[in-house]
Amino acid sequence: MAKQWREIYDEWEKAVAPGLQQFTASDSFRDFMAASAKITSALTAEFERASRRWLHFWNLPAATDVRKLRQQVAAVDRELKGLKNLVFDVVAAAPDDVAPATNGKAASAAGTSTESKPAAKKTAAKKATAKKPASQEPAAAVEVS
Amino acid sequence: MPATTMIRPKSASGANDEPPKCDTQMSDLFAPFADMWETGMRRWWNLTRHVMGIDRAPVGQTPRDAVWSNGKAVLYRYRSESPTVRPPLLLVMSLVSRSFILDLQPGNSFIERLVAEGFDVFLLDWGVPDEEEANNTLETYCDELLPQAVAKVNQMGGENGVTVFGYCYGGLLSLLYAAGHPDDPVRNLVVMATPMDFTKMPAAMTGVGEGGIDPAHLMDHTGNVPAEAVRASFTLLTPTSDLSTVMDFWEHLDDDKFLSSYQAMTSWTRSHIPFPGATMIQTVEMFNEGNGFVTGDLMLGGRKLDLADITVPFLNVIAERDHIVPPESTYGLDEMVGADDATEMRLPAGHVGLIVGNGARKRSIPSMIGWMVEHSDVDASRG
Repeated sequence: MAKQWREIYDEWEKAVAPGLQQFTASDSFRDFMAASAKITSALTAEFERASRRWLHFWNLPAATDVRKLRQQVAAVDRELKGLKNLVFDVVAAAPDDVAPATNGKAASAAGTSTESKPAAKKTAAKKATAKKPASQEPAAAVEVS
Repeated sequence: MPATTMIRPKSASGANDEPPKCDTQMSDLFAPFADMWETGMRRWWNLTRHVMGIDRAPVGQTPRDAVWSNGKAVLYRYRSESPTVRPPLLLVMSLVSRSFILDLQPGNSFIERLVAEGFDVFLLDWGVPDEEEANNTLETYCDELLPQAVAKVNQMGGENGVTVFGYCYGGLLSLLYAAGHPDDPVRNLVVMATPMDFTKMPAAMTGVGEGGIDPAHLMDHTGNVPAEAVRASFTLLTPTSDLSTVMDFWEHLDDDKFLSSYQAMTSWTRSHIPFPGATMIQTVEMFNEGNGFVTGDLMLGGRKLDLADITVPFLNVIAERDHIVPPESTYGLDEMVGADDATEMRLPAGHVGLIVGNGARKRSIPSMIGWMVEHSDVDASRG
């Protein structure tokens, strides 16, 4: 009894699955998915536009405003990372006695081991901490160990 | 008067020396009910704890330390008292699924096995993308993050080079990286279940692009393809698989061991991660529409890539029963790379079955380990 329902399901699955798989792999299904994605996207955009208008009428921020801000923050963050990478590359390319490596990326890019110059690393880190404001603390590549 | 004295027959001598037949019969009579009761109670308890989320099967239990990070990408090193195999092994995960599949459960973990075999194992986990990663391109992964991670692994592993091991889309990233950075300290390259010929990929995987779904229509407010859409594309490959999984669950609900494996596996199959929007567009253009690996039209950071620039020992692991990356879409990769030592390994497994389950434990994992050991230095004295 206990297995009977399973046998029935397996039979059903065996009969139905190939057809379903064929259907989901067909061009008509792909067209249907493309159309539904387009409609969903258009409807979402329309709804967002309407709700944004309504909220802005009451001088309230809409989700799209918050989203824009988050995207801007992300863009700034990316730019900051890019600049830091650039700085690290410049530091890594410079002679060791002029600009010691400050993190793993710089060290590895220069082909040197961070463990080999702990004192230099510490000094550089100290200098960087002293010069930079707290908001610029997170490094692009972080040594977690 | 006790009931037993009334029922038990006595011998001719009058002594009560026969076994209590009636008691035995009674227990026989109730035995099936007792079993049913026990099974029923177990099923009920297992169902309750599954639904309530009590005592969930833990995943990713092999001890590890985060040794490097950049944004959401984190490099983990698995603890090992005395790794005997050099160079270290860097596992590169796919962009659409969580990395704990490589370390599913104790006794059923690819990473646990690698560590036990003496490998110094690192895992590059891309994290879960949000707005910050929406603009990540293939260049971000192959020209920035992977070279940095490889450099870090090489440095921590004693500058012996690195064996890079990419799984699924992680294999695609590894191929692009290795072709674009031939001077990096990569000693061996292994790709597993990695798509190469996109014309032979299932429609649900390649339905985005020209003549199909516009990638822009798939993006959510973060600028990424949401995890639900990623999961839906996998579900479409085998539309009845979700229902079959529920049937399996119901059938084996009284089996604690099955429940544990079921929970671990479903927690992976149901927790896909968003796909970075810009990478999606680039993937659609370069592979879904351009079939870049086959046509040779591979561009990364404005420069043309050639798989022939991959000259390090190369292994392409193919799962013969893979329904996500069908074997025919991966055949011939070993002939496209420039390595003299290039191997194609076909294994009788599915996409996940390569690294999870009994088949993996007995066949797939030992075969892959065998190749990697053969292409590494083994220090037996340190074991």
